[in-house]
Amino acid sequence: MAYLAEPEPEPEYFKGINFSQFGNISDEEPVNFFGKNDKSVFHKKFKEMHDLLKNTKGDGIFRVYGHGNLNMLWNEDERLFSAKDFDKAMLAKNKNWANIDKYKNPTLILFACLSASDVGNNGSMAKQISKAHPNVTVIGFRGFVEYDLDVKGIKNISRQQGAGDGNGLIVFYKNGQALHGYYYREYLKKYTNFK
Amino acid sequence: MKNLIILTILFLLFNCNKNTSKENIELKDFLNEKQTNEYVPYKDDKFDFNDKALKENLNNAIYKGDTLAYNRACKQYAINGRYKEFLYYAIVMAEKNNYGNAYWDISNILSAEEDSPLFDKYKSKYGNYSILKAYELGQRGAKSSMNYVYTEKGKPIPSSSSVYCSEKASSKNGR
Repeated sequence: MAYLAEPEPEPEYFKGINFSQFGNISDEEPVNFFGKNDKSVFHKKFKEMHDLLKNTKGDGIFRVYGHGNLNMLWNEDERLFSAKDFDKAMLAKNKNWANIDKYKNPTLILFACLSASDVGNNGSMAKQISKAHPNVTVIGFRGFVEYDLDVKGIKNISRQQGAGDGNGLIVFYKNGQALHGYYYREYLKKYTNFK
Repeated sequence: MKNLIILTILFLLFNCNKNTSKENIELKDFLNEKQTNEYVPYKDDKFDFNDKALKENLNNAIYKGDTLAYNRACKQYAINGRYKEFLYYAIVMAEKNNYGNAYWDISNILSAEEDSPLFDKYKSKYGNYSILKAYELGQRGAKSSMNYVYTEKGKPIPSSSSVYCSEKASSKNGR
């Protein structure tokens, strides 16, 4: 995929080691920003994605699953308003985020509603994080991410909440600028492996 | 010495297993939650404004100044697509309890999205006042926002009171 970090082969000396026993410290495995007050549908979808993507160590792609709103994200019940807030929350859940600026072609995907909806002054969280980490391609969604257990993965982004219209966009940011935006439904047709 | 090494390995293994099983229990709790009658956001247009927990959070927020309750209630409105309907509570929380996040919410709710016909044509004066007020109260989002709009461009950050005072002054001058 053109816009995502290329996976690098797993070094020989790591083979056969189950890193998951050490918790979220050794790779880019998916991060859960949902909280105990959130419905089980979100945790179930996270588990599905976590099981699918937990062994992608070294690919440089960080994925975050959680709730979003205009210009902010939720980490459980805590509100994240800036890239600084995000870094702090992310580091607590995946220590490898500390190395994000050292990766070759690193990527962050924010599977959260409105994570790429630029409103007001300094814009969406995707935009703000990409400005704080100029080397990172940050991917967000302009619309509402549907956590639907009836389909595999995340396949639908609606522009209007509750409408199920599939008109939401996937937007790519670098260095605080939106570089590309596509209808997510069209993007998935072209890049069928996007997860 | 050999016994010590074995004991250390056993201790480490026990600890690793302990952490993992704790995580598993927590995750299992979420996964075992009953699906019956569960509201799934974005799939329909239901929102229970009379939800007991929501009401409790709003009451605690407004009457007792409980900021955690306020943020929980705000989240419930926002993730269910009812953020605009939260404006009343944001205003009351902001004005009664002088709470920065509530001022930030007012400004955020009153901002037009890029694809809105109002974008570029309308800027809410009360929204502008609220973001400056949130900044003055040390709210983190407003700090980051004001840094982007003013400080990075070498401009001084205006005071919140200047938003309405300047209007008053200019209308007086016009008479």
